[in-house]
Amino acid sequence: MLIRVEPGADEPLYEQVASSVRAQLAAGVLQVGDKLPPARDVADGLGINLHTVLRAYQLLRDEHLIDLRRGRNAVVTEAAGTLGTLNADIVQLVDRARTAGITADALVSLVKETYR
Amino acid sequence: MTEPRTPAARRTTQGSTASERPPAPTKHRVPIRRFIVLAMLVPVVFTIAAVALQLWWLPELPDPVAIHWTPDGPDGFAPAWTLPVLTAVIGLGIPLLMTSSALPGLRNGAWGPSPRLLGAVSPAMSALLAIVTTWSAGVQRGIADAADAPGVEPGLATGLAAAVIVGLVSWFILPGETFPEPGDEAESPEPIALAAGERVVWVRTTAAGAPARIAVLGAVALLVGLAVGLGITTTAPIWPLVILAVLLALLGAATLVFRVRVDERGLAVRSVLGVPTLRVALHDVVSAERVTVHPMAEFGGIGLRSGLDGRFGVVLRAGEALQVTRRDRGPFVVTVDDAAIAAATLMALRRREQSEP
Repeated sequence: MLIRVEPGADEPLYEQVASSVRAQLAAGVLQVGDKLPPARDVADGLGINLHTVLRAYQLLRDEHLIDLRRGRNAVVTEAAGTLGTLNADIVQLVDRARTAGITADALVSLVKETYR
Repeated sequence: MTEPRTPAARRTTQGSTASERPPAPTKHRVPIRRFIVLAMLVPVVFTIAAVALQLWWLPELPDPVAIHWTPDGPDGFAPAWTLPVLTAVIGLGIPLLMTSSALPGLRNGAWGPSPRLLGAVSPAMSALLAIVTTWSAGVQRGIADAADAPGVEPGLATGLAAAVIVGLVSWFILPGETFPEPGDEAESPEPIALAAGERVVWVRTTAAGAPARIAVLGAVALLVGLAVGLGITTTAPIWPLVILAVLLALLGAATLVFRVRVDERGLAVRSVLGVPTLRVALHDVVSAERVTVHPMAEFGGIGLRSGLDGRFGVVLRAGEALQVTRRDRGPFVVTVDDAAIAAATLMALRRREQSEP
């Protein structure tokens, strides 16, 4: 599993780690029942704090995308599986927004607005 | 192309051009029939012949017979029927055990020096065994007391000579090629796009196939069960069994499951035990690609393996693998899924390191 972060970016690091995981869930690289790599490995590889990665994993758990159990690996949940089915729609939506000249931020706020 | 279509005409054509190489589609065909004949059928035939002769002689043999010799004479005895039974069990069991492990790889279309060696050693060993056992029966014919049996050194020498001849003939009957050639199915992916300050890590767990894991777990369970059973029923010390079980479990953890990581330092392949850890530093990376590995043909089995072609690596199963060409040593291989992404990540990091001195 590929995780990438840009320390200089505005978005907090833990958000970036979570985004990487979400992207791979959506792309189908990670499937239901797959284990996420140990947080220590990810932190070590990225040269960031272990707690940053753990916070990202907790965020994903709060979104019901992974199960976290003490002493065990983080496991991708059934709920995360449905994220994969949205992938095609998301790609299409972003394509159309881009052609229409709508920025990523504008699209995100539109999506958030629709959730209310 | 004006190749004749009818089978008869085709045969004629092939006959007249016998010195030419066979056509391309048959170039990479595993000699599976020849392998089975040499490594399995020949040993079976040798063994059946030996057992038949020993049974034929059985009425003439002393009972018990001598089954073991020192330079001064026989020192091991057993009931006469042991000789044909032992010959059958060992003579059939060893070649079948030895060769059956190689068959899955051959069916997948892989061939190399390891199955070739197996195909030569199996009939050679069987020839040695058949001759020595039958010889030791032959010299005891008509003797009343097995203690008077003459030595079997000539039989041993004959058996060894026969083994060498059978082994050499089999070795040369089997082809000396290796295929698929390493790199036949290689894929060098485009490096992923990396921003200047971006950090990236790729992590993936890779494990040996179910049979290897089941074998180790089964052996550990057996030892533990044995230790418990002995502990309950006897006063025999069980700690040797417990130590053996623990050692086996540790060995399994050290060799069957590995975590593969690509990051700014390069490639690290670490067992779940933590030891061993194998690394390729980023500045030693020349190139990275996704390859397909056939463990039996290319590495002679699974585990931490050196190939005869100079490759080294962690080979846990057949199929997809990450192969890294190193600067001053042979290529490093690790069998792992999504190897193309790993290779693309590793190459992106390497390129960035080269461009930023």
